Formats: sequence, C-alpha cells, structure tokens
Amino acid sequence: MSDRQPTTDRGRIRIVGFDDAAEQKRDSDASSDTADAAGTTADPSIASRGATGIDPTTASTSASAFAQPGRRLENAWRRFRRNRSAMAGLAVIIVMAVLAVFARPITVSTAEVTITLQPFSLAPDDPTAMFVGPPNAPPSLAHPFGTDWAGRDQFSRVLVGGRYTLSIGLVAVALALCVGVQLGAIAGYFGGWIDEAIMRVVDVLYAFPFLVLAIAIVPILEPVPILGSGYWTVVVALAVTGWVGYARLIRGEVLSVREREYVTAARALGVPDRTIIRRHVVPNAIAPVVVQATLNVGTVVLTAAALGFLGLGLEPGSAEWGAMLAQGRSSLLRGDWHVTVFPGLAIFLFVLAINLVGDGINDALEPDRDGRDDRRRMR
Amino acid sequence: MTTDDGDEPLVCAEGLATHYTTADGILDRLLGRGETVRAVDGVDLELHAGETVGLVGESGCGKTTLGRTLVGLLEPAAGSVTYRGTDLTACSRGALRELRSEIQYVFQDPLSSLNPQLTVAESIGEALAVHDVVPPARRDERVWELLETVGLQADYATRYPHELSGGQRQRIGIARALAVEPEVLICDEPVSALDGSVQAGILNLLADLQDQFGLSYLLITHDLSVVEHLADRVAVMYLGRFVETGTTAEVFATPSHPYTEALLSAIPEPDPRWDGDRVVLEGAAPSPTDIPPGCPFHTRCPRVLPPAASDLGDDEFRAVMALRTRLSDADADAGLAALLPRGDDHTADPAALRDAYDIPRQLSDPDADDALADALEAAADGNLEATRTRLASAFETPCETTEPVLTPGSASHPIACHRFDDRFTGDTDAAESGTRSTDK
Amino acid sequence: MALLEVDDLVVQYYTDDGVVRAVDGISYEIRAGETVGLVGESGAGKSAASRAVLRLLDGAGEIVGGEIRFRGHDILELSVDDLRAIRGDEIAMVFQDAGAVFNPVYTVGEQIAETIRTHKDVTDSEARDRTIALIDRVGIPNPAARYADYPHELSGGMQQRAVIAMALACDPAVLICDEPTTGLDVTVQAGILELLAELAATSETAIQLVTHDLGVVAELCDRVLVQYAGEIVERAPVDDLYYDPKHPYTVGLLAATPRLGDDRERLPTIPGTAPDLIDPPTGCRFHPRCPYAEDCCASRRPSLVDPASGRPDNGDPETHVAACLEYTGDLEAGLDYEVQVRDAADSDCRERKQQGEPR
Repeated sequence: MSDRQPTTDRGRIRIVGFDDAAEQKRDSDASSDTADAAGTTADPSIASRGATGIDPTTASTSASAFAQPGRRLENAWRRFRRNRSAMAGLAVIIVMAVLAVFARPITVSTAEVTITLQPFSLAPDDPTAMFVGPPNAPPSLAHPFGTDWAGRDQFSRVLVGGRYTLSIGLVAVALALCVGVQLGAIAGYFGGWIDEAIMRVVDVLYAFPFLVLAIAIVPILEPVPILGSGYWTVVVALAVTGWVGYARLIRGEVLSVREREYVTAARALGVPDRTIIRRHVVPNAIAPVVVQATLNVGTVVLTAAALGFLGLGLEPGSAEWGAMLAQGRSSLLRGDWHVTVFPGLAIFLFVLAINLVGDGINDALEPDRDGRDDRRRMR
Repeated sequence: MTTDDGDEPLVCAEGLATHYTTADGILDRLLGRGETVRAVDGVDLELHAGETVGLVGESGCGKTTLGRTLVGLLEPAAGSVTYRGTDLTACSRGALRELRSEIQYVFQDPLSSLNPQLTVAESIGEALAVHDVVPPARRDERVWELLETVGLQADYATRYPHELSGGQRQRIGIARALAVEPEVLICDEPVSALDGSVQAGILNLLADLQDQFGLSYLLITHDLSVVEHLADRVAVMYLGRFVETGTTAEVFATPSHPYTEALLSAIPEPDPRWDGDRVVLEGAAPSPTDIPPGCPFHTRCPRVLPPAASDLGDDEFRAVMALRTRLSDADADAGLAALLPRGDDHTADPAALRDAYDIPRQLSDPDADDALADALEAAADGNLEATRTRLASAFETPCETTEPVLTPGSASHPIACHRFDDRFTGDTDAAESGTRSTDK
Repeated sequence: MALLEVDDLVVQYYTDDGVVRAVDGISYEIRAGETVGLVGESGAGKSAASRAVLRLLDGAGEIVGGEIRFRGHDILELSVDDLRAIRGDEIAMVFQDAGAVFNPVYTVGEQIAETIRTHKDVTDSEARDRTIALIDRVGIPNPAARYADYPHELSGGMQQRAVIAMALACDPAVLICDEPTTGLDVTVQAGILELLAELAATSETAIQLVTHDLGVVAELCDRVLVQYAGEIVERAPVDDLYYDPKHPYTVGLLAATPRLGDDRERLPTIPGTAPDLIDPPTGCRFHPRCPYAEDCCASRRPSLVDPASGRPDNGDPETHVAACLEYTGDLEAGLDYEVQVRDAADSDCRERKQQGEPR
C-alpha cells in the first residue's frame, strides 16, 4: 500500500472518529448517570446494600469497587476471624477474663455506703479465707484444684488471681504503648538530635535484661507513696521496661512511612507536623507495634509471675498466679503437685492464647503492608 | 529560563541550587563523611500566569528536586524563589504556610501519595481544613464540587484509595491540590504511572483546568510527547542544570542540544514503518555527586567538539574520545583486558586497539596520530595511567575544560553547548550543519 | 508446527474478594524466530498469561484450563523435573524489575554462570567464559570486570541487560519479555530495544514481548496480540494493526497514544475504566466502554473472525482477526472511524476507511 512507505516523520498515523463516537456515548451516559444518582439518593437502602457488596446482581464497576469493604480494620477482622487458632486463643482469653471478673463480687466502698458493681460469685470461697478445707488437700469435689498450705481454696484463688495477672499484662502494655509510640514516633519523624537523645535512652535501657531491670526498678518504686502497695509498682515497673521495645519498633516504621509520598503530600499542603504524625504517620506505622504489643502481653504476664515468684511486687499471700507458684515451692517438694500445677497451667494457657492471638493479628495486618513504595527512587 | 514578555512572572527562581548530603546521622556529619549531591545546581526559571512549562530529563537529573524546592518541600542551598515578588526563601514560617497554598504539587504515583487509611473526602477535606478555605459546614459540599471538577461523581467521596483505579486516584490527587485554590500546579510525572488510554484523560483534564482556572503548570516528565502536547515552553535538564530552554516548537525543532536530540530520538514511535535515526547514548548519566568538569554532558555526548587547533575529523575524534571514556572507567590495574571488548582476547597491539574503537590506522592530523600511537604503545605495555594522561593532553576537547553557558549563541533559543558558541566552532554554519546532518 | 502453542488457556487468581479470571480462554502460537507482542492495559492479564507459559504463577494463581504446548509437549502435563529442564534452558523470562531478579549477595557473573551450569554439562571455567561472552553480547562494556560486580553496582539499564544475558544463557528457543523497558529512561530504553531488535534479527530465538507501550511494539514485533480483560480481541501482523486496526479497543488505544509531531488539541480517550475480572461484563467485554456498542453487544459474545469475510479464525497466525460483532454483520450503525496517514510532504493523503455503513 502506498501509504505504508517507510518514513522518518513522527506522528504520521492519526485516527479520527473514535473520539467523536466516544463523546456522543459519554453524553448519553451522562444523562443516564444523573438518573442513577437521583435514584441512589432517593433510596438510601439500595445505596447501602451496594456499599456492603451484598447485592450480587449489581455488576457495574462502582458496585464492584465497593465489593471490598473499605476499612482496613474490617478487612483485618475478616481475616482474623478466618484464623481458627487465633479465634480459639481469643476465646480462651475472653473466658479467662469473664471468669476473673465474675469470680467474686466487686464492690466499691466508701465510708458510708458500699456499692456492689458485680454481684456474681463463681468462686466457691473467698480466696483469702484460710482453712476452708484441710491444708494441702488434693483435688476433690469440694475443692476441685485442692487447697494450699493455709487451707485456702485453690480454685477460687486461681479464678480471682486472673484479675491481677490479666490486668497487669494489659495495663502495663497499654502504658508502655502510650509512652513508646509517642516517643518513637517523634524520634522517627523529626530525626536529628531529638532522635539521637530518645534513642540513646532506649539503647541504655536495652542494655539491661528485661527481668533484671524490672527487679531493679521495683525496690526504687516501692517507697513512692501514690503507687501504693504491690500492684501498681509492678505495673509501672513493667511499663518502664516495656516502652523501649515499642519506641524502637515504631521509630523504624516511621522512618519508612515518613518517606511515603502521602506524607510529603500533606507537607506540601502545609499540614502541621503534629497532625501529620497523628493522621498520616502513626496509623500507617502502628500495625507491627500492635502485633508486638499483643505478643508482649504474654511476656509481661510471665515477668509479673516471675517477679511474684521472686517475692517482689505484690504482697505475699495475694492470689496472683506467680505469687501462688512461689508459695507452692515448698509444697512441691513434699509432693503436693496441685498447689503449683493449677496456677502454672493458668499462666501457660493465658500466654499461649495471647501468642495465638498475636500471630493472628500479625497475619491479619500483614497483607496490607506493601512494598509498592519501595519503588520510589530519587528523581 | 526567561521570556521576553513584559509581564511579571508568577514564580521566579534565580540561581537555584539544592544539595543533599549522603552523610547518615550526626556522627557521619561530625566526621565530615558523605558526599554532596548537587541535585539542582544553579537554575533560573520563570513561570508566567496561565502558561505551562515542561521540565524534561532522565531520572536522577534533578527535575523532581527542583519541583520540590519550588513548593518549599526542600531547602535550597543557594539562590532564591520568588512568588509574585515575595522571596519565599526569606519568608517566616507562618507567611510561608499561607503562600504554600498558592503553589501546589501533584505527585507521580497517586496510590502512594494518598493515605491508604483515609477516604477521598478525608484526604481532600484535610486540605480544606488546613487553610480554612471554606467553613467546616460547607466542606462536604466543596469536596463534591471538587470531585465534579476533576470529572468524578460525588459518591467517590466515601471511598478509599485502593478501591479506585489509577486514573481515578490521579484525579483525586489533582482535586486535593486544587482544594486550596492554588495558582500554580507543579505536576511531577502526572501520567507516567498510568496506562495509555487513561493518560490521555488526565492530560485533557489538566488542559481543561488550565482553561477554567487560569492555572500555571510546571510539568515535570521524562515523556517528551506529553511535553509537546501540553507545554508552551520547555526546559531540558541534565545533571542539575538546564542545557536547553525555549518554546516547545523551538526545542523540538532542530538544531538543538545533543542531549535533547538523543532524548527525542529515543522515543519509540507507534508506527511500524517509522525509520528515523536513533541516537543511543553510551552508558548511564554520571552520578550527581561527581559531575564531570566542563560540559557535564561531554562524557556521553555523541558530538564532542575536537580541539580548535587540530584538523581532526569529527568521527576520528569521537572514536578517540570513546577510548578515553573507557580508559577513565577502567581500573588502573585491570590491564589491557579492560580496554578490549572480549576478555579472552589478549593480543596486545596498538592496531587491535585502534580497530576495537574504530579509530583509523592513520589519523588525518599527523601530530595527533603521533600522540595516539605513543599512547597506544603505553597501553599495549599495560601502563594505562600513562595512556590516560597522554591522551588527555593530546586530545583535550573544549567540552571538558570550559563550562558552556545557557545562551542563544548562534541558535534561536538558549542552548548550553559549545557547538553554538562562535569561539569554539569558528563559524556558525559548521554548528548548524553539524546538528542537521543526523536528520537525513 | 509452531514452537509454542497456547490453546484456550484459562488462569484464575483466588483473592479475598472472589475468583479473578485473569486469563479467559486465550489461544495463540509463536513460531521460531518471530517476535510477537502481547499488548493491553494493566489488569488485562498479560503478565498472568505469559507467566502461565512457564507455570510461574505466584501463590494465589492457578491454571484451570487449556493447553500450552512447547514443541508439541503439553507443559501443563510435565513433571516438575522436566519443567525445570525447560525453564531457563528452552524458555526463558525477562522480568520488568531487573533489580529484583538478581540475588544481591552474589555477583552478577556467578548468577549467570550458575544458570549455565544448571542446564549444560560444562566446567566452571567454561561457564565463566560463556558468561563473559554473554555479558559482552548484551552490550555491557568491560565484561570481564563486570563479571565480578554485584547487582547494585550496575545501573538500571545495565541490570536489565544483565537480566537479558541471564535469559540468553542457554540459547533459549523462546524468550518471554514481560515489560522489559517499563520504568527505564527513554535513553536507556532505546539501548535495550536496540539489543532486543538485534537479538530478534540475528538469532533463531522467538520473543514474546508483553508490554503496554505501542511504541515498543511497533519497533520490535512481527505480529501483535491485543488483550483486553483476559481475552484476545485482535491479532494482526504489526503493519496491519497500526495502519488498519479493526477492533474498537485497538482503535481507542492507538488514538489515545500521544505521538510526537501530532498537533491535536485534545487526545482521544477510551471512556470508563478497565472492567473488574471477578465479574466481567456480559457479551463483549469491551461493550461498556465501546463508543460503537449496541444492544446486542451486551448479550452476544463475539469470537475472533476475519474482518473482511466474517469467517471464523482459520488458524493461520498471519491472518488479521478481530473479535467484534461488526464483522459478523450484527451491528446496525457500524464502526465509524478513519485512519489517516500523512505522507512526508504533509499533503494529506488519506485513506478513508468507513466501515460498515448503516445497513
């Protein structure tokens, strides 16, 4: 064909007509679109049905885009729910928490009145009441977990002990998260001397083994008046030792999130640094920290138990699982296995469940972490 | 780059330079470790109301750095940026935040420039909130208006970035930039992450918005066909400097800087019968930590000028330059093997070297030939250092000694190349014919 | 017999949101020595189709139907060992992201030599010599020194050349290049294209080039397959495709491509967005975006036919076929577009191709 001669001219081929046809089609579509839009606003129930992706007959692209529910958390929860071992772990934790809460009535008493917040009592006996049965009795129908050296009902003590152990784990981790995430995010986002200062503190704290540090801190904290006895001392000691891990982890994440273009975009818009950290940086950097924190609840519970075992922290005789283990040492030598086995089993079960949940959260959050931004190069 | 128009430019950069350091952390900085990356190195740019300036170059040439310096995301190391006569580099933080809303940035990758956790409405709304463009009560309404402006329906407001296609995301990116009612948009590769058919839609949108709001664009891209389509004026950037500026028609027509020629010829033509000449540049661009002296492009330039004193033909001289370039890349102890194309070929004689680089057996300038023969003897003995210095003294081009300035010279528009400078070429016709000869 | 025959290939990906049919019944063949382009937008299933040839689909992907015959043997039936013998030796792949192909802790040369040693019975020094020859062949200067370089020491363009060298290590019969130049600078791309063109011209290696860039296809390919939403909608020799496109999608793609030297004020666009392959449109998959679509397009699925005669694809890969109802006489208004070719003197020498006048 004559028009297919080799050429050195560029832009020789041109296609006309397609655009005109497309334009006409767009016009006719536009009118139908407005009709659609009117229909959607008139009937919100249809719109919401489309939004949740339940309606399978809607084949248009807009509906299919809605087919993947928006929120990352919803997606993560869906993935988590599909993870059986994680769900089993979650169930164990919930059951333990419920048992702990309903083990004995919870009351708040002032000078005049006593308000009962929670009247139920699953535990048959008061955990501190001595000689409800013979000392060191093996498990029986009356005392399913047996009794300890003072004749206290082990079953009641394990149930109530959950209150201490579970709450120490959760509260200490939550406190540590508050401190660690803020300091780590600030260090990572601003860099420079702020980063150097915060991270050197982290390095110093990291130089001590976790447990040794906690052991060292407890006696320092004990004289502080507001902390009062045992419980809060342990919580604060564990938070002080725990935040460094989160700070270091989130700093690393922030360092990479900080370089993402949406952060640059926010800066280009003139968004203040505080808002950038709160809205753009931390939410996108938090996932691995949440995973780590969940797994750490287990570690913290173990450490609390270890502290209790060493006789630090909670006052002796309290129904904390670690303290119970410690007191059972002598009975163990005498062959009274039940005194230590049941609190030990409770710790084991809780830590295992926490780890399963932590892994589940990890898997649920992981698919959203992408490497797409690694493609950024200096241009 | 400046125009002769009388009206005052909207944005004006003078002698702008932006440097990075590769030093990492305080310790490195204290010890003076790390090199300075001169990403932008003395650039003059003017952007007038309602015009589009295209900024083209390879990756790593500093286009993005220049764009980000103009919006104030990076601190310039030298020079000034003025907006309507106000020097942005001298502004207080507060004043700068106000001015920021006048110059906005559109990012290359719309997915990574939108926070995955925020809906479209939240992303755009943030821009509205920061500068208090509209009262909070009217924000949703304004978001819908903006979506309509960029050709999206209002119901996109509740979606998340991952639910949108690439083109739709880029439209959101543009809507966000428009939210603060800017006068200047710096578009950094706005379409290079998109598919062809989607690209066209975004380019049309940019053109429409310009008509509608009288926006000025700085269009940063490596795609010259996009520049040709949208830009009124073009600046070609190489290693942090402009090598050619002018109106789009001037830059795309001949004669032009050898680098522009190479960029233009490298674009694949969607026409199977196209049979144009293609200039393939040797090697990659040098690192901006170590910019070659003289003309920064001389290491890759297919049109390096012979020394004014010699009678060498262009082809002969370029062949010798290729040998010199290879020499400067080779390790001193690599020996002759580094110079010959095949590693296993060790027949070390000067003739083989000449053949390998297409250097004629006898150069047309006898003095030059003596020097070359001398140098090649040294190379055959494995003394690369001696070869290097001997060749460097005998075949020194003005391109490596003198830095070209961005002036019109003998061309119709500013080109930073000695070929358009009478001092180096003797007469203008040579330069003209030199560049035209490729268009056969 | 063709070297590589793909017959009715179906590839599915299983995602959280449903089953994505990335490739839905495509058939094509590649003969020795030819270069075939596979063009389409992102999400059209081009990469899935070419990865399926070597059964290299990642985790969630699965080949659920069809046959891939290489020299007459069905690749889908091969044992893992036989497949491994073919991969890299007979059929090699060049991926888009050159930086991710090489293991950063070994030198480039070692990794190429490793490929040779895996497939050929050679001594270490023979493998080394061949590697250096290969590095030289793909145009990397100073091959002996580059042998000992680590991947990060090479620039992007050189990395891509090294990837091609690795793919060529065993003189493969088929080279599948998946977006080999996407993400590279035009100047670097020009060098890679030149290398591939020279390769296609001088060796018997057949190349399957997967790309979205019509400029790259025009430069390198002998024949082109246009893929849309998991299906092949047009197949033509390269000249016919550019000068006489038949499928409205191809027409739209060509029209929307920005070209140098083109003075149009606005670029034509294809309306709408690529369909969702979990639930693709009924009938012709392009109909929601097609400016020429009529009611019948939503209900009838077109097959590849010869546009001139309307007869079904006769199997000859050189014939021009397109999957549009227009060519089976089902459209009433026809396709109204025109391909204009300006000759060198710029006097408009136009070829009016008004197709399917209203009947």
